[in-house]
Amino acid sequence: MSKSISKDNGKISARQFMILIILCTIGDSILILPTIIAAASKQDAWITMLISMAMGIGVGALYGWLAMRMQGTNLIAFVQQSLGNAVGSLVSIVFIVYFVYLHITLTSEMSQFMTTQLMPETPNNAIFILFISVVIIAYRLGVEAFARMGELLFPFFMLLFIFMVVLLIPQVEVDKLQPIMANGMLPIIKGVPTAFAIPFTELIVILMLVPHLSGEKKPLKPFLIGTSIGGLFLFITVLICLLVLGANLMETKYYPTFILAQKITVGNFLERMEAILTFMWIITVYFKTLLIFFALTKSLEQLFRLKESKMLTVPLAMILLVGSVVSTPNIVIYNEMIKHYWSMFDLTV
Amino acid sequence: MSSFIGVIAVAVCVACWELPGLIKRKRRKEIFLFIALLLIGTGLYGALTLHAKIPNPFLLIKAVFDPIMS
Repeated sequence: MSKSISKDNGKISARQFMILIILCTIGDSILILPTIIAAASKQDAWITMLISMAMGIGVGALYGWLAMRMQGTNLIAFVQQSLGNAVGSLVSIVFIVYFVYLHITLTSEMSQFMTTQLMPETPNNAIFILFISVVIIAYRLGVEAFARMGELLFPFFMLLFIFMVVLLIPQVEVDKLQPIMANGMLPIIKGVPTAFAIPFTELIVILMLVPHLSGEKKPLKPFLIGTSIGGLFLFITVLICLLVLGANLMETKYYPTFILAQKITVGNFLERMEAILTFMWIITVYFKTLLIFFALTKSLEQLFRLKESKMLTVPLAMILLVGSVVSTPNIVIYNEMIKHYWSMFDLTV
Repeated sequence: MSSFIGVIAVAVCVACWELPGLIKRKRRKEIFLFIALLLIGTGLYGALTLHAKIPNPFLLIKAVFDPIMS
């Protein structure tokens, strides 16, 4: 009944699909997650991340199973098929609102990071417009084009990540992990909802890509491998933050991973490698934003039974841009929102 | 004021770019949704450039989850 109507029949391989899952899992979490987890779990943040990773793989399996049941339709079409047109459409609207919020959050994060750390004189709007323009171009070029781009950029991301971790090893102090579980399990469990919600539950946007998966259509494996690798990257990031910076510094800084990259010194010639971290973060957050934008546009296409959706990109971008500017007047309000409400919102939807 | 005119100009350009093709292909629903979203987008962005007070969308989440959190 509600098969996807669009004529955009771009196909992506299971490998490309998996890479998109990894990039989407890492997304903005590589930068914002360490500080949020450290605030709740202190020096036990690595245990929190480990538990969240296990739960995340479980969610990956759930999404994979759902993707197999969807039989080549996207999430919205599947919801409409399963719940009927009226209830299905209502649930679809909830998903669309959720995608709008996700998109607003990510672009806000991008602009907050850019204006506080890299380009303080640049207006927020300029960063938004540039960023969203690239997202629109990628969307209009089609799913094949951006999946290939992900495939191309992922090895660079991996190399830079390994490079960063290896260069930080001389500054590791294992004592910073102690005392382990000094306050019992409660602080660890307090950090789990955020550490689990932001990287893993938001992966639901990937379910909009399922109709584009080529081959034997077995999405379970890419989901399991993707969430495992993505979770591992995040676990290593949290662990190295703890080992180098310690829980106190990690908790008080907005972007501990960025501080981490600034700490790299090899001899007296290789210093201040934050550009590496910035590049990595831009890759992952760009792909996550792109996938959310894709999910949002395709959801509208499915809900209104449209035959094409490319024309919606600019008007949607204008609305999202206003949402991003209005929702985060400054970094303090933004962080308050993320720390206290976001994980609840994520888990509820 | 110049920013506001800029926003209107962008909206007109986008409409001129997208609409002829849609009209030619007789995509009625698409045209309707496109115009509706473009009007909302232009209205909101225009209001932003004129420094009008636009409610923060996160306040809705706060309003929903505050009672649960407390």
